Formats: sequence, structure tokens, C-alpha cells
Amino acid sequence: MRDFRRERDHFVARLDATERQVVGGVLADVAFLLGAQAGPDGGPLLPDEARALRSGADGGGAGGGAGAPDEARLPDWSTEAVPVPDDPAVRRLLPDASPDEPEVAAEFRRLTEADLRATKITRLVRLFRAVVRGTDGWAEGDLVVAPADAAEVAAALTDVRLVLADRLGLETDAQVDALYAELDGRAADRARRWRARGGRDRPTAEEEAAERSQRALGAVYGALTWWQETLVTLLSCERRR
Amino acid sequence: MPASIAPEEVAEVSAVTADAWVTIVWNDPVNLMSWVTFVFEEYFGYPRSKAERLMRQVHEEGRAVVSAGAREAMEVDVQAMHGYGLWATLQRGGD
Repeated sequence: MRDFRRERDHFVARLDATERQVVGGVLADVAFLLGAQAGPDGGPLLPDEARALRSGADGGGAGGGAGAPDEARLPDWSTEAVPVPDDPAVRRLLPDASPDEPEVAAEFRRLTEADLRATKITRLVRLFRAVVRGTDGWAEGDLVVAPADAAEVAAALTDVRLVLADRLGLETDAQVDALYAELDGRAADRARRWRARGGRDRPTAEEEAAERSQRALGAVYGALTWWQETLVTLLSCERRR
Repeated sequence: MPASIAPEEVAEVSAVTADAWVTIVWNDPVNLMSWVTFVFEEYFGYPRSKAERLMRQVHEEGRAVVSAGAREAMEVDVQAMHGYGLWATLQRGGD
């Protein structure tokens, strides 16, 4: 994984084949978490594509019946409450707009949640495709971001990091600092933690597997954090010029 | 008035009418300081110094009032903040 740099008036980073698979995977996962539909190739669809697919299926592909495709494009004027998401990670991406006034939060969710979901899914799917498919005229593995699209890319990376942080149980600045310390290679710290938990020197196979998968997730989180920082730095310089 | 509002923010918020609402951005351990500053500059059009001061307030005090106005306008701001991945809420400014 190489940092974002300015090349030929674009912000360009580089990913090897494994990194493209891992980064593409988490982007797709978060899009699905937000309700993206899978396409024929298994990848997540843009909201427009999913809608076209649905209306095509409903109308038998012959123009559809009485305005069904148009209906799908109209804003949702329903007065029905939109339920608060069960998954804490989704709730973090689509948070309550009021901590102590449930009716304000409910009204806000009813008016904005569908839009926000669509915005976030769109950004994630676009970035997923750029990562997995690359860009014509650039080397394989180059991730090429036009300056005008850089804020969307950075926002998509934020959403992915928010979900990873939830899965890693990162709730405080101190926990994040601890993760970075661990990524910096403080294996001794980890060994001490194992011993503190029950006085065993050797973890069970399940514990080892769980620890390994958390470690991998932590490494992805750390890498994406650094990667996003390099992009935001370029973006801020660009805007302040 | 929330205790965390800086003196200059109090002046800004008091200048609007009593039924005005405010948008509050809350600290979280994930969002980068550079990204939060960028969002305040980009979305609100705040100068870099104000954007950085608000970012620092969020980071150090746990939250900051970032805009004030009618409820509908604050709903737009909160939605935009959620779009950027920031944790934002709205409330009556006079509380």
C-alpha cells in the first residue's frame, strides 16, 4: 500500500493484489451492511442499478406497468417511522440526531435516512469498483482519484473505519492509541494481557484464531487510517491553494 | 447553555432568536483531526483558524456547537455531518 500522491493532476495511491482484495472486501461489506444489493457478479450495486434491476423484474422488462419505475424514483413521503438500526455499526453510520428527544430523532430519521444510506452506498460502491477494476490509462494497482472526487473517497474511508472500529470495540481515544501501540509491534504487551486473563501462558486454539482475526482487522484499520490521512492532507492543501 | 461552548460561540448563538436550534458535533475516536477540520472548512466555509479551533474543541471537550439557526437548517447541517461520518446532533439553542 502506497500513500496518495499528486500525479498527473490526480491523487494516486497504489495497492498490490492482496491489498486490492482486502480493501475491496471491506468496502463491499460496508455497502452490504447499509443495504446494498448484490449484482450478478456478487459485487454490490449502486442504488440506481438496484432500482433498475427491480423495476425491470417487476415490469417483465417491457416498460413496466402503470408507472412503477417512476414511483421508485419519487421521494418517500411516507409518515411511517423508520426503525433505528439494530447493528451498532450501522447506527454509528446513521446516528440518532437527538440524544434526548426521541421525537426529534425519529422525525430526522424518517426524513433523511434513505438519502443518507443511498449516498453512502454510492460512494462505497464507486470506490470498490475503482479499487477492484482500476482506471484505464493507468498502471494496474493504481488507485486514481480526481481531486473533485477526493472528499467522497475520504468519506467512504471514514465509513469503513467507523465500522471496523465498532467491530474492534474501539470506543475511546485511549483504545485507539493502544491499537496503534500494538500495531507498532508491542508483542510483549499482548503476552502480558494473555497471562492477566486467567493465568494461562498458552491461549486455546479458538482464542488464538479470534486473536488472529482481531489482529488482522486491527491492521486493516491502521492501514486505512494512515491511507486516509495521506489523502486528506493532499485534499486540504488543494483546497487552501 | 452547554458548558462546553467557547465565549465567542456563546455570542454567536445568543445573537440568534430564542427558538433557534444548534448543531453539535461530538468527539469520536475514529475521525481524523485533519478530516474534521477539512469538513468544517469545506461544508460551513469556515476559515481554517475557526475550523481548527472547533475541531480542537470537539477533540478536547467532547463536543462543540458548529452552527445555529432554524430547526430545518440544523437538520440539513446534521445530515451533512452524518454524510461525512461525523457524529452530530441538533437541539434547541436556548436549552
